[in-house]
Amino acid sequence: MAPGLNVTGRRATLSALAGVLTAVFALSACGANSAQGDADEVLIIGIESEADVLDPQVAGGWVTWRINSQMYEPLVTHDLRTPSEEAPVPELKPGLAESWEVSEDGKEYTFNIRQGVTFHDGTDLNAEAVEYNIRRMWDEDSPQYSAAAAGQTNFVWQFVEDVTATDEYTVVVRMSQPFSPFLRMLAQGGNGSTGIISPAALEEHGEDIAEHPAGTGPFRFDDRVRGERISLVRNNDYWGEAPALDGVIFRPIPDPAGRTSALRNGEVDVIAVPSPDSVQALVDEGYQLSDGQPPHVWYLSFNMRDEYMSIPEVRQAINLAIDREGISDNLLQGTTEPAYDIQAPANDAYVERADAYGRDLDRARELLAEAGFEDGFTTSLMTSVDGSGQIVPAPMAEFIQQNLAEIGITVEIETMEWISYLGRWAEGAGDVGMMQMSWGMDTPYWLYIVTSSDMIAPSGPNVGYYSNPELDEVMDKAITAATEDEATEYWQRANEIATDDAALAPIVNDRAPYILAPGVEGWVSASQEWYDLTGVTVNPEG
Amino acid sequence: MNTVVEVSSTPGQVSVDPRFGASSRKAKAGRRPSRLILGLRAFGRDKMAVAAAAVLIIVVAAAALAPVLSPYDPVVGDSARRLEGIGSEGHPLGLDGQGRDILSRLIWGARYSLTVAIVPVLAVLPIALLIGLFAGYVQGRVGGVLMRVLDVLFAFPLVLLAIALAAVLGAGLGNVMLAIGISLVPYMARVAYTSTVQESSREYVEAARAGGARTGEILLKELLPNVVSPLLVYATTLCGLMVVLAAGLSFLGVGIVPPTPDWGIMTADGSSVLLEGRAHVATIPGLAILVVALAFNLLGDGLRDALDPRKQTT
Amino acid sequence: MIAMIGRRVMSTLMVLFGVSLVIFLLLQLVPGDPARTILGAGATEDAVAAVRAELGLDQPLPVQFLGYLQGLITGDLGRSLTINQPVTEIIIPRFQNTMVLSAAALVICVVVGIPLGILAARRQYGIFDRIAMFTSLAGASVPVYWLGLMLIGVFALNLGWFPTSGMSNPRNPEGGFGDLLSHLVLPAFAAALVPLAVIARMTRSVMVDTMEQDYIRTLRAAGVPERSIIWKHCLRNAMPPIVTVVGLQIGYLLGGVIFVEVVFSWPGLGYQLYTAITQNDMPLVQAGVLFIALVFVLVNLLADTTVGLLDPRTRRKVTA
Repeated sequence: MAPGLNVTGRRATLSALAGVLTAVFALSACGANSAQGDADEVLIIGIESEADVLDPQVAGGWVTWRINSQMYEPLVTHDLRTPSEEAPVPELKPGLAESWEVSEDGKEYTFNIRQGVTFHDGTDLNAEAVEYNIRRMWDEDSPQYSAAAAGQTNFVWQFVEDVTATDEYTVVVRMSQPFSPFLRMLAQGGNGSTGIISPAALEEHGEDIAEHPAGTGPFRFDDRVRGERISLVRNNDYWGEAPALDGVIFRPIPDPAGRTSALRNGEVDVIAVPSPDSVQALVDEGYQLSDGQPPHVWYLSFNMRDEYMSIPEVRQAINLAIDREGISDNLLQGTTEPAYDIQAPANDAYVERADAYGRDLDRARELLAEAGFEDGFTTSLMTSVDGSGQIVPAPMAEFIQQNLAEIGITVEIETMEWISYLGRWAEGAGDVGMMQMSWGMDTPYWLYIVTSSDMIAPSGPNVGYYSNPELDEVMDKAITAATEDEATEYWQRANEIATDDAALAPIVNDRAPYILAPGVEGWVSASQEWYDLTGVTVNPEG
Repeated sequence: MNTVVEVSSTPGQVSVDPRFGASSRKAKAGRRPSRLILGLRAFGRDKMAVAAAAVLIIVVAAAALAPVLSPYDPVVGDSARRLEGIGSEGHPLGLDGQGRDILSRLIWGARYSLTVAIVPVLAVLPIALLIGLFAGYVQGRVGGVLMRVLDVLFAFPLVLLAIALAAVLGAGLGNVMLAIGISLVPYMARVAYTSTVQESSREYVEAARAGGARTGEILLKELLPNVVSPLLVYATTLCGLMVVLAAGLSFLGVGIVPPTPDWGIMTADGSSVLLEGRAHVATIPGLAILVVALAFNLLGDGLRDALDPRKQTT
Repeated sequence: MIAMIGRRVMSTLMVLFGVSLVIFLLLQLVPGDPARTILGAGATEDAVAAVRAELGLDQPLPVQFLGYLQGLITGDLGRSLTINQPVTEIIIPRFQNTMVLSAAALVICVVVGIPLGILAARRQYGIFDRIAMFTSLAGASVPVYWLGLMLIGVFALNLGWFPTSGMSNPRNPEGGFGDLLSHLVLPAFAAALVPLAVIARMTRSVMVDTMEQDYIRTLRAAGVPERSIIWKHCLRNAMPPIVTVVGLQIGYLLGGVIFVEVVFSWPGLGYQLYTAITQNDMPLVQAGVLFIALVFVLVNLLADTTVGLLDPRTRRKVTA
């Protein structure tokens, strides 16, 4: 504090730099704690970064979808009111489509659109509105087409041949081939989403739609002050169960210590991504921990064009040398689980393979020796220093570096700021040995996205240039399978192949911890990266 | 960090730097043989500066002897004992988030933190000198263009320019030094320029010119010695500021790459547990930064006073 | 006078043009592609190409730069590539927030730094001088993010006097000026440390020089009270260089507050600009840096003018 500022107790007494300052400082010191707010029940969530645009089809990243998904709904959504323990794989449930039918050949989806739903701007939801939205994401020739929306959602619509509103509440989507993950892909968020926007609002605001969101969700847009807050209010006309809260405010607080401080000082009710070392202390202080098992894999891609990484034994050895339990239990204080499969447990195709991903240094050394590297070698690992879902990437990379040093592999870490890293990552590994990412979906189709020969960077997110004809074939069968069960069987086989060949190195599955103030009730951590706030209440006195 | 330097950023305008101006004005320095001795004597009387020099010598020695002095490998940790506090068994300064010995990292860190501060400043010094002397004395078209270019760089706040450059170049020791170095050029060149302009109008320069000395001779023999000293003083102070700035770059993730035991990274890493009862992880390297930065500043003060002829005689 | 102003305006414009060119060239070196940033990890090459075309990034660099300049001349700073909004709408509120923080920090600097320097100069190398100079230097030598968190720990969490972060209390939208101030105290103090040290040291050194001048000795010999000598005669003479330094500190603050903004989640320009740089969002970076450069240049112009008015020598020249 400035010299001359002499404060006792809660009331500030100033021996003054100047009379004016005295009054002003005293006033402000009192102001800090006196704010009770009005009677409105508003939940304030401290989030880990500023959100992207509030255009659900264009916005990237889970951080933004957690906000957009309160305002926008796709045709198909997840049941996020059932906690992870009860539903390890999140159930799909009808969203803006009340029901749907799939043709026998798996190429035609008929969606029956929910009736009596209105957008926040008063426009009615109907089949035409849905078609208008799909064309925005898929039809280059439509006037509302958005290249950004199309780019973000191309994994959803890639096989679509035609979309038609056959009557006021029916939409038919026809595809060129069966695409078994389609429904789950419709419910995805994070890389864009298929949240439906009011066509009237789109017509009116065009590119500026993100500043005037109008969806159908349980909350309506209220206000956004960049860097400070995004506030939403209850949608009283919501078609489903209306939320108990009057509103919710998302406050970006990028510094982890800043988030815990804001929670402790009562400035926010919930924080996302607490620093792992603060979780236990916060719980001891009476805060609530809510976590689950979203489909969230923190993994390494091997550069298959690298002289060492292209050898399967080397990749297997690396997988066996990494101490996933140590990372989860020590470094991350139980905020993650060791990953024993490339896929997260939050999808049906999960196959636990502790034999390939459990720690076995002897076997790892043996494998290295078999490959002719008993003396080890030097390689590089590239990671971001922060970012959406990245947990604490640099310390994790350092931990892995130490693990690999034990089998003689020297790892040089290269770091980048998150957004630059995303761009660099998408270009492909280049001359880097390994690249890190956090991702995952509740559909096993994700494996295809990150390992298929069709997805090799820079034309897709297979950044390690992995290519395995056997795996490709099995994944193709899974994608075109007629039934869900058949697809799952193929996906499981695909997982086994990818594990045996050490296509990737999954490290941990995030438990996505949230810390809640004592007065917050009804918060559910489902097996997904985002949350449903309709059942949440907050008692500020709690 | 701009700066303890008092130069005008405004295009085409040189403001008098009273600190250097007042002192060097009277200095017919470079002529008196006893100047060095006088300076040393004056420096010796300044206890703060001597203490600062001693601290820096100790830090440099620690950096040089790091392999001998540090009890543990600075990049290998024992994760089972992570975050143990000061005075824990075998680790007098405790362990960091990876279970690495903080004392060892502190000792090794001296290497990186000093390098990242001193090398860019030293590298820019001759460049700044050249630009300053040339633009300040020779002037002409080239000098004018040079100063205009510097004006442009000067319009970027130093911190912002360094961050932008570091973000553009990517993380890593070399890139951080490059980013800091480039950002320093306009500031250091300004100081050299300002004092060159001031010195150029002194009697001794005019006397030399009247005596038929060539431009090169005047630059090297007359101006250089008088322009170097304020620049050296400024450079010393800058080293202190750069230790802090480099740490800031690490905090933003555009600095030195982990697990390098750099003080900035150590402080940044520890900041997530600073308020979780594990304050030692960030505070120890933070204090190291403070001490070294302070020492550079005090040394700079001492040098300035020692080079001031008025203080030499008193 | 008018000629002088005209020259200054011209050179300011040239500087701004240079700044804009430097940023343009600099951002060419940023790894990654804004189109890729917009589309995220899963985007296909075709999608990226389409967005690049939409943003005009597929055109040759000189064309892009000329297009940008053209917009600039007509007062159109363009749209942000990543936020998809006119950059002025993004930059201006952020810039205001940074100005509020910088101004508060500057007030602290001036109110504390100048008296500190004067008192220290009164007895050079005295105990007050030593302590004041040492402390202010120490303050400037601390990593700001460490200090910021310590301030939060002590004054927000332990003592509960101030909020930990942000610029307003969303629970109390009617908080007004008091609410803003309570949020401002800690970050402003953290941001003030470096410039405070610079101002205090500068004040001290100028005052010391002034006090040694002959006319002050004459005044002293004439029995003018010490208080009047220091606060009236010396300070008046020492003011011009102090004003110049204070002006320069604005430039420092505009860039240097970024660390403070991160620690205190202050919604200022610094962090926005940093993200924009990493996202390669050319129009946003251009606008942000141009704003800063413009303010920097203007403030220094103002400082120089003030110096001109304060300095008795120049004043005489002007009136003569």
